[in-house]
Amino acid sequence: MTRRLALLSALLVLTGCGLEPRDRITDPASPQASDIDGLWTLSLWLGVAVWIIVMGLLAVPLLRSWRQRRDASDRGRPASSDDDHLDVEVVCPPPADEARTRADATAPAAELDEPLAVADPHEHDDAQRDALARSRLLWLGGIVVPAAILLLLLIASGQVGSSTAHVERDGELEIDVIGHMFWWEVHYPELDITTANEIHVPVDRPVRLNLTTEDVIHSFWIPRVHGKIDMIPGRENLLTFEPTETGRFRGQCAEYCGIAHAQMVAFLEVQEADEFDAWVEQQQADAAEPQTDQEVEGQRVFIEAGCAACHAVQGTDAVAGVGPDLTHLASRGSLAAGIRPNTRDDLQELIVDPWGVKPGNPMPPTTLEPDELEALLDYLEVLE
Amino acid sequence: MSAGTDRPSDVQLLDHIWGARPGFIGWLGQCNHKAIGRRLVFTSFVFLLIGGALALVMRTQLAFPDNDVVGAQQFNELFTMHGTIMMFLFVVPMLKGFVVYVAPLALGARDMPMPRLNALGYWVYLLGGIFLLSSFAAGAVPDSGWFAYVPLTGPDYAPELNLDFWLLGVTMLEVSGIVTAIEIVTLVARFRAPGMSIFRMPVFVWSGFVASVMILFAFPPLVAGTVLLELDRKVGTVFYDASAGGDPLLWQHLFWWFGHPEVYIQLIPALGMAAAIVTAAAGRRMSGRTAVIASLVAIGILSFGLWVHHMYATGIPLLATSLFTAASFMIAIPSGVIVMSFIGTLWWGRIRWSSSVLYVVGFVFVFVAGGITGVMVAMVPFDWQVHDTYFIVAHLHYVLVGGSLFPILGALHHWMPKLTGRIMSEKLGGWAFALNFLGFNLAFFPQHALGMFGMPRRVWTYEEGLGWDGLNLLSTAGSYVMGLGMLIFTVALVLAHRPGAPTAPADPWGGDTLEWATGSPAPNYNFRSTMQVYSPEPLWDDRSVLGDHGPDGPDPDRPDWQRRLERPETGVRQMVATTGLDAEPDHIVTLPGHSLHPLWVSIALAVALVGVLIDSVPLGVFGLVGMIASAAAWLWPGVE
Repeated sequence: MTRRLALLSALLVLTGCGLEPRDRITDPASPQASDIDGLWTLSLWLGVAVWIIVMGLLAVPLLRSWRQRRDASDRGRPASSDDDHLDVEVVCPPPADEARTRADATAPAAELDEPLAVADPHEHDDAQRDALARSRLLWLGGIVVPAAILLLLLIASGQVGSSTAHVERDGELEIDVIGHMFWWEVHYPELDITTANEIHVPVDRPVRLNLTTEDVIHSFWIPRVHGKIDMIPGRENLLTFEPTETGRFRGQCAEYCGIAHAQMVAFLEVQEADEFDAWVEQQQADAAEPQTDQEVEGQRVFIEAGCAACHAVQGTDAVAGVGPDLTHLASRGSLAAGIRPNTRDDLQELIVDPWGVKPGNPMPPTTLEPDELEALLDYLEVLE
Repeated sequence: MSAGTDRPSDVQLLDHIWGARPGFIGWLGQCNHKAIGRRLVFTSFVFLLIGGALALVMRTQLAFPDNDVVGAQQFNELFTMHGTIMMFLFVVPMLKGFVVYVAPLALGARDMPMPRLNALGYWVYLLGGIFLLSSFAAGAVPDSGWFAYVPLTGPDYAPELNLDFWLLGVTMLEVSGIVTAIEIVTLVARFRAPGMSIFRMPVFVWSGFVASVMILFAFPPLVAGTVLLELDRKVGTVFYDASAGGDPLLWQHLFWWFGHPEVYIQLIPALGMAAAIVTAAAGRRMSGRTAVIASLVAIGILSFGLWVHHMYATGIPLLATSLFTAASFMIAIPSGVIVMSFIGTLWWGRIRWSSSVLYVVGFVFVFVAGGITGVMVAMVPFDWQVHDTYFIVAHLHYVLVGGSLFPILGALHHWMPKLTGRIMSEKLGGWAFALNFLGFNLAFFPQHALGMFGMPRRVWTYEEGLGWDGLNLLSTAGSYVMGLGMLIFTVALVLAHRPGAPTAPADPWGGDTLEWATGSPAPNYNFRSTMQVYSPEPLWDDRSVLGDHGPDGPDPDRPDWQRRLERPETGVRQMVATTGLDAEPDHIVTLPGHSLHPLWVSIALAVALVGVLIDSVPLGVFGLVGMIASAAAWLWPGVE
């Protein structure tokens, strides 16, 4: 009942506020996620059925007992001491049994165990009668039925496991994703592209991610296309999936990786093949040249104010690989590992107050004159 | 006992021998199982309240998107300490406290077999808890989650003292756990009342025994793991450093080899508590009693074969992980047997309602749901999706709150008469249960959905527009309701102990096991006479010989050693040891009473670890020497 109430109120709140979840496991966009969703549906229905049956079994004695209590109080007599432990005063321990002290202390211990012990000896016959039903409940409810369900689920789980685990596929697009505190570095080894936090892939083509880490353990997860897999120092883990739907799918680091773990978001951008090809062409180009004086000034600030100590812009003197590659920064949809939209204001805030935007951000705050900052922002906006 | 005419009665003599010495020092030096058990129960209850308060702060932060009640660093400290306190400072010590207090009574013994070791277990626990919490004062609170994955906890990424507090504190708590487990295993093996053969032992004692054996196998790997990590941090070894040939996965294997049995160590004694409550409430022998005991043992064994199901996402090959799916599924069978036995017992008994029964009902309701999601997350592909999300947070709270906290709260109601001689208000108890139950489901059921919607665990904030807002708010509201429930529970606990509150009768629930055969609270010597047990429910059969058969009693032919135990003219604490399986009387053991040595050893251990913490070699050596000296004094022949 409480569960149903909770579910109901959860739904009310959801619909009431118009909050549709952005990404969910039950809205798969790849055969892999779809298979897992099928496994979830199967286990959900079986689980709900089991839970309802068990609760029904539990409810029988509880309801009966409540009815007895009610009947007892309806008849206007105080509930028997058996039924009422709510009032300490009326509770009496069973009278000390005379028989106890007359025990035959010499009888062999093993022969005296009764098959059933009851507090009230008058119930003994009932108890004997119930023994068979009880044993059935235990065998069927505790062993046979659960074992059958579990066997079914084990087979289903094994099948889905083998259909979703990594296998080499022809024509797969290979992408290296490297976890950093607290962002994702993305390489396309065959296409010679380096970017960050946003992974573009074409629809209906197998994708293979080679997942490694630069520092601590992270876990890569885009719920709508596949489960998560960890990035572990000294290891490379592989994840293959085949997106069947275009869209911008969100995911975030799933293994606690330090102070800003909550703000390490990745986007998977699934595009039509021609859009993807256009994107590849754009990304393969060197950075756009600054045109106006302001932009040229911005480039100078970028190099001299310290940005270039960590960030690379291909085709310029900035070649460092500590922070995300900014060659095509302006073409991305988000900033600071997916937590801010890519607008001029957010970019400015990120440069001036990176620890306010993301506590624990390894990027230090940069102190700039207002006109230098404007120039820098102008330049960064050129980097399409 | 001067040469006079007024010879003390047997009971006065026993009370004097088994009582604490007078004064504060006497109080401090108590080693009797009842003093230690009570201390464990009440200390861990305080830690429960602290851990719960931390959780409420976290839920407040997560009530709204982009909230700033606490910052990222504080939030990370909060969830780390919440998990650590609940796992290491609340559940396990609370369960051990109940076993230490109740098991000797339920077995008809007078004390634990090694009372001073028992005291050591408590003092090391208390100091370990203070050590961990002192990190708040030092401003270096552990912040890496309760499973402290390397390399985030290694020297490169956590150079400050935060993790040293955690590693050293947890090591102390593990030592305490191992010490008490040794104690409980010995008690169960050799100190049952004559006639209480191994299968006549109460289910609760069985559960404490199984959990203690598990502790002996599960805790040492974590001690090894934490020591290796501390060496990496302090000495510069590279056990977990991948760049130098170490392996971060080694930590995960060591940790979960401890960590998975650990969750069953938290579950099994709680199942035993629920069994005790159900049996007393139904007035019937546990339905399928032998099957229940076998199931407890089976869970204990199987739980050592599951640890990899915490590591499905680490890239371990599918064939290997699938074996762990099968192993994890297997544990559902004995769990199912136990749940069916509880239901069967209630079905064929006549239920005598009390707050503790409500908690058992709540336990079945919640634990079954947690078990079902447990089966789901045991499936490798599904776990790839929900691993490390709020689905897991919901699952683990369904299992641990349902499987541990509810039975513990029920057990506090059930055994409080025996612990302190007071009985908690049923009225307040009912309200507390209703709020706890409702609040819990409201707080944690929506979290299943949050996990399905992509919300990872351990995030201190989330953005607007992800569809997580409403459910998080609901969850926070639920947590407040549960907080109110716990407040009322605490009030009921305190009110029951106000001066002049009603005292409890010896057997308020019509219980079946031996602890109800003695007074409430149990007298210093537990039982005046040696009992003879003939069934698993000695208070319900008409053969077992219980209680007070004095010199003029009905059994004048009892053996001479029983008379001597009833009237120990020697003035020392004595009880009878029995054989392992059949519990035939074997020999009389003499136990120590008052001792401060365990306290000194614990303090010296804490000093040594503070030396390690602050890199002070002199302090470390001082503590080590102190430990050796106080242990030597402890073991010195003839000196108590």
